[in-house]
Amino acid sequence: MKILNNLAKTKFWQSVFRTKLPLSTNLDRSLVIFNSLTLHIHPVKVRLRAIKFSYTFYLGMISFFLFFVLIVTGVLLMLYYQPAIPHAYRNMKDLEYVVSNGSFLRNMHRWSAHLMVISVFLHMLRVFYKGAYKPPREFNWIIGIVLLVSTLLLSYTGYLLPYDQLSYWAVTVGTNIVQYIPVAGKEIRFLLLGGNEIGEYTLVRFYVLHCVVLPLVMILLIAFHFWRIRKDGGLL
Amino acid sequence: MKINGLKKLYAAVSIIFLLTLAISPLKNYFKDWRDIQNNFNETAEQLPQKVKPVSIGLKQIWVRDLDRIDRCVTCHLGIDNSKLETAGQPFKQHSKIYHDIEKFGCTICHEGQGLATEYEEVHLPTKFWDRPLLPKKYIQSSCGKCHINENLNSTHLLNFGKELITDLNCAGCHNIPEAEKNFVPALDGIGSKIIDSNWLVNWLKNPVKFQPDTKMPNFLLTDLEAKILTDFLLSFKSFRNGVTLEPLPEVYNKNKNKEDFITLGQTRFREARCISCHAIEGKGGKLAPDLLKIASKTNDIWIYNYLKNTKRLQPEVEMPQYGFSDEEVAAVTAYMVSEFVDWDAEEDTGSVHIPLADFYEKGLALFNKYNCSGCHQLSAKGINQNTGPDLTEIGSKKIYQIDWGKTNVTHTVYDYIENKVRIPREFGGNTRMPQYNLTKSKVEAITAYLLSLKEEKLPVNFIHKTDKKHEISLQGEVGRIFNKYACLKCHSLNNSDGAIAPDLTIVGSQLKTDWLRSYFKLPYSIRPIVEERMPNLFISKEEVEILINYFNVTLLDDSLSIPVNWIPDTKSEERGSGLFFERYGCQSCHIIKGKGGYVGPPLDKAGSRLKSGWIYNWLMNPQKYKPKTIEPRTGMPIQDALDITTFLMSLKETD
Repeated sequence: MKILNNLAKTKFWQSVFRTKLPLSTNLDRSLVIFNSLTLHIHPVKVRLRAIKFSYTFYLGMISFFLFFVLIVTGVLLMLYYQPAIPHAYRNMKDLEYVVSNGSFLRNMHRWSAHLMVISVFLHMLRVFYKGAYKPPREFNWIIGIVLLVSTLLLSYTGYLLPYDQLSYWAVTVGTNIVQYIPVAGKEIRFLLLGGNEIGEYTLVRFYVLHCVVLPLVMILLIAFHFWRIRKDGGLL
Repeated sequence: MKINGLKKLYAAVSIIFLLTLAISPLKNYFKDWRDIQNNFNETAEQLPQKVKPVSIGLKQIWVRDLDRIDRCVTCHLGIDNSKLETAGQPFKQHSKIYHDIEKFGCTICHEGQGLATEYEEVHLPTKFWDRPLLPKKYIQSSCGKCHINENLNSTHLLNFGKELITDLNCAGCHNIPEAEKNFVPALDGIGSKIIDSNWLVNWLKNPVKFQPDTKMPNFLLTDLEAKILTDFLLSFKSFRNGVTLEPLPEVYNKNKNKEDFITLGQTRFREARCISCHAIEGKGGKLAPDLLKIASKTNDIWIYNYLKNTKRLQPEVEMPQYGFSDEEVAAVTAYMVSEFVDWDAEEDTGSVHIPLADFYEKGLALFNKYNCSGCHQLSAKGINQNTGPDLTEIGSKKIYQIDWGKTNVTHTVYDYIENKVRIPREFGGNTRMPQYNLTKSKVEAITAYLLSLKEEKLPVNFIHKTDKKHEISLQGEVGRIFNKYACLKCHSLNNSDGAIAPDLTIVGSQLKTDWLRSYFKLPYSIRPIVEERMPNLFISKEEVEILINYFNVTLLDDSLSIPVNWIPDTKSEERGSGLFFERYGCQSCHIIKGKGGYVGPPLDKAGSRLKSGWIYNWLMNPQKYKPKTIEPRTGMPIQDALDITTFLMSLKETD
């Protein structure tokens, strides 16, 4: 205990943890909560009924957990994947046949993605039927919508990466739909494809969107989403 | 602490989750290939010959140049091990192979999914790999990917397929690389050639019925379509380039039923050896149509004109023009008209044929619909090229692009092509492709060739391409004679096409003038076992002199010289005779003095036929002049060759 106390007095400790030990007053105790990100995520007050399973069905947390699984498996998959033709499809084959537990990894990623889409949708329905989009939560509802769209986009961009017939045609159809957006449709399609037809550049663009841009947006917005829940008065 | 229901559930779920996680590594461990490798090591121990056990683990061949990774060797462990020649699959040694496995891998020839490590995925057509292992019969198609136009000895099916593609004139409707268009008679003037419109109707409906060896396919026309097309075609009475038929000569009209006139025709027909190219009831050559029923199809005036000057009516035809006199042509015509009649043909009912209304427009539409102009020329306005699909990359056709119709065909490219060639309209849709009369082996040959036409781009250093034999065009009088007698149909000259008869490139250095002169008068077969011989073309004396002069001036090999110390005396002759009969045993292949083998040409009268320089140089290095000859290169000393030459030159015609 003494060593711990001494350690807490070092400059290093104090530069990492702002709260001064030992905790003696209630202010110190509450400062621990305020100064820690992980503990801070919960609102100051949590209603007992809000913890009950039937209150939220934990849908938001399940979505977040799946997102976490997706990031972990996704990073592992990135180690085996080249966004190039024809390597992309061959990499899938390697994952399936040669990489240890490769198909497990890939299936985890795939199923988590499917489940995340489902859980995000259910989460939205739950929030809608509870009326949780009403003030003061209307902005968080908008963020939620953006998160939903990001989830779908992640799902869609990931679909091209195996570069098989299914993904090729899915992207063909998808980008053709984009083309019908008024005024800028053709330009958006061109941007997405990196050209006028699906090819190497499309693959790279979708890869960057899937692995860098969209996950970053997701992480930022999720953080903001959680913070807003707390600020707007906890779960409803 | 009390354990409540929720915690119990949590514990149970956690354990189940852990167990589920354990499945994946276990599945990884119990893969089939691991069993197979263990099995290999066990069997290897029991074998009498020493076979090294393998280390357990995935194995693969990475062919960087071809961008392929083949894991076949994970299970096929004995591929390059001669001790496992008789082992069962998958450990058997690969049969005689032409390429280094490490340099080529497996799937470049066999196809299949080389990346996979499970039996079904590797060998069979599956959802995520539509190029399954090629069946053994089509494996040659892979040779054709690199060996373009090479006609290798070991790829007979592929070569045959290529030949058939040209023979059946597939290039008439399809774009096929390296395929040439074949000669097909032009249809101009067909109305002045065909005797009976009913014949044409029946022909169009089913050509094979009239002529079993015909190359014309069956377009499965309806009765009405056949009639319209007949009326349309018979309306073309004039020939191309304003050529008109000459009337039959007096002598024909007077003598056509007289026996000795017909006999004269028959004699000329035999002397000219028409059956070298034309079969008669299936007996004879395969180069030209069967003549058995020709007189029921073609009228006498056309036959007369055609025999008199073949290229006047059909400028591209390969048939030589014989040097007959008008009377002889008339006699041959009379013989053919009296002899080659279809006795089973329906009697002409004598009713006057009334063409259908607007037959011309409808006929033209049909002519265009079935792309008749792909093969037959016809000078009429409004004829369009209406070709079929491009076959340049047919071997890589995507499975999802294929319309399978209502068939039960397995969904692979080779099954598709095979069935399409066999019954072109099997897959339904609006296909116009006609039905060919092909045997199973022909279907497979064509399939093998088409399969070799792949989309994939192979590295240039893998490609072995033999250039197409180029057409030779000879100028002037010689050119005219060569063209008239279609010499280059059978003979080759400076790498040109003909493959039936000897090469003429250096004939002037090979053969003696007197012998050539007598040979043109009466050609015979040099080799006793070869049945084909040059037909008697009745080449006129002046033309023979022009040809011989051309041979002696142009078709020479200047390098054919004989050493100056050659003294053809009796001593040399005796020594040569000894060398010929004893030292080198030439008689085992060559007939001389009535005795000897049948493999090489007889040398009885070699001295009258061959020039000494040629004999000498040939003896020194036969393969230099004919790479595929079986005559051994003995490496004999110069003196031996000179003596044998002396001996052979002494063998003159006795009379």
